[in-house]
Amino acid sequence: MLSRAKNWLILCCLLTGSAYAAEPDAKQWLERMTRALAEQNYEGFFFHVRDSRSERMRIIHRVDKGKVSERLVSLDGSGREIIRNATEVICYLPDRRTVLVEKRSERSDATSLLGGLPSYSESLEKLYDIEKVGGIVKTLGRKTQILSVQPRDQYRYGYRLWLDQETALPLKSQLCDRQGQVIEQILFSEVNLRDRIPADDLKPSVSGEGYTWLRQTTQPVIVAGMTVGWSVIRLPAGFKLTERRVQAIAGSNAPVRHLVFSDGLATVSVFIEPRDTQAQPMHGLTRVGAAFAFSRDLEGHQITAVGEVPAATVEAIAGSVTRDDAAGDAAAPDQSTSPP
Amino acid sequence: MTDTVNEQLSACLDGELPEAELDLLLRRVAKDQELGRTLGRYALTGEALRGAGAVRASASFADRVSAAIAAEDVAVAAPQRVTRIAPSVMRWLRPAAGFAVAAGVATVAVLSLQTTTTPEPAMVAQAPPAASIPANDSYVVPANTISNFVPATRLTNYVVAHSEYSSPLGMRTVLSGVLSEEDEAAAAESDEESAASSRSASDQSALETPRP
Repeated sequence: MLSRAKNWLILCCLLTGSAYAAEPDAKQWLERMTRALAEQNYEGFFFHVRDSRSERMRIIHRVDKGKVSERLVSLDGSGREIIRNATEVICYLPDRRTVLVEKRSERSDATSLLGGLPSYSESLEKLYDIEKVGGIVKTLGRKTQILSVQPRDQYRYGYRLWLDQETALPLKSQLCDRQGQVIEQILFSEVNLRDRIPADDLKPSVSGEGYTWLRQTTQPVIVAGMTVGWSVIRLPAGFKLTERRVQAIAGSNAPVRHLVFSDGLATVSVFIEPRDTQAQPMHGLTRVGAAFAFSRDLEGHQITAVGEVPAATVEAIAGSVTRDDAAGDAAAPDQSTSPP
Repeated sequence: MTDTVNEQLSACLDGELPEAELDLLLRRVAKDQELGRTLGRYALTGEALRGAGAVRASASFADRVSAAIAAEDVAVAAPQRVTRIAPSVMRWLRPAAGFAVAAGVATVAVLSLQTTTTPEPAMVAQAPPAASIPANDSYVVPANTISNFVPATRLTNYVVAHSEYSSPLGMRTVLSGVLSEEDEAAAAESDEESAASSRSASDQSALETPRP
């Protein structure tokens, strides 16, 4: 009898437990958001706020057969529009009678306005604490759940997301530093879900006829996948080399080695080029917008790490670039351009 | 100050700012020109918030900010702001900054098109660096660079190259940041008009867009 009572008790506990589990946890909220952004048609208006600036745009976000395309219309009176999909970004600048066309890297996840927000993975959870902040609160007139994606160390920024209870769309997204200071945010003032969005809605309101069309090729890749002779030791936890190549970069006289490191969310580039004897060497920390860059000199080369990460990260990564002695002799055709 | 204002504005957007503070904020706008300009950047807020939509913020806030801005516009229009040196820069960069939010790389591409030439890779590989003249050799990172405006050359080009891989929120940060700071620098230059006008002029030409 006693044991049967105990079984009942356990069963009750299990039932109660599962009742609680029905309430989505932080991970499930994040997965809901990712799904909503990938599957949901919507249109609306948003503000992008950074420092003392606020910019307002209209967005039309269309998902067709799993492919996201977006049209963004500036509301500052210039009539500018951006149409983009996975492979291309086209910017119409009626006020300049110019159209810019740019191919996007297949690897880039920059295919939509909010495509770069964190999406759940086990590796993400190793580096970031994903938590619900409080219960449902009212934000922008809607019921929202606040989600916090905070880094576990000082080497990356965190996110705070206000997810609409009904749709899981992020009505407000903030990028914050470790002290919780907001670096930038996107605020929706209006979002409307649509069952379907006609393809015509993705067409620009100007034809671009008679405009100057500038096709911005990505800077030519000289040698993909080769950056012999250099490596980065002691990377901050979670950062992995995801790309390396040698490319021409405007303003640099010699081909530049470009290494890309990512923790799955934050990305840092390292550029290595022979030091130009005519140019002033770059040293130390520089802020470029909200990104940091850290430059140093190493064996006649200029090393620069750039990324939208805390200063400590670019400094640590630039600081741990080393030259492989073993590869020295065989090191790339551009070796000849190194200063003696 | 700016941070406080932003916090207040953000609170307003959420309808979280108490009435008393809202009054205070709007009274300060009436007195403080700089604050007015900051708030002016939110000028379209009212329109957006009044739009019939699924998601709305406090309408009273929107109305009152609009009213405050309308009043402010008159006040700002009266004293002439000198834009003699870089009107074209201002004209171009201001909308560009807004555009950069979503355009990402492309807007900076305009800047890099005008400031640099991409060398032919083959030629570069053969030419010793010392023999070729740098396209932009004016790049100097000052000792204390954090708050300094740095001409959009080498570092910006690095940033552009990097942005191909960076995530959108970060990318927007970087690129609108690059443009914003140039914008601010242009504004600063136009304010200190008499000083170093030749330098400003050359900076301007570097920033100016090619006329179609």
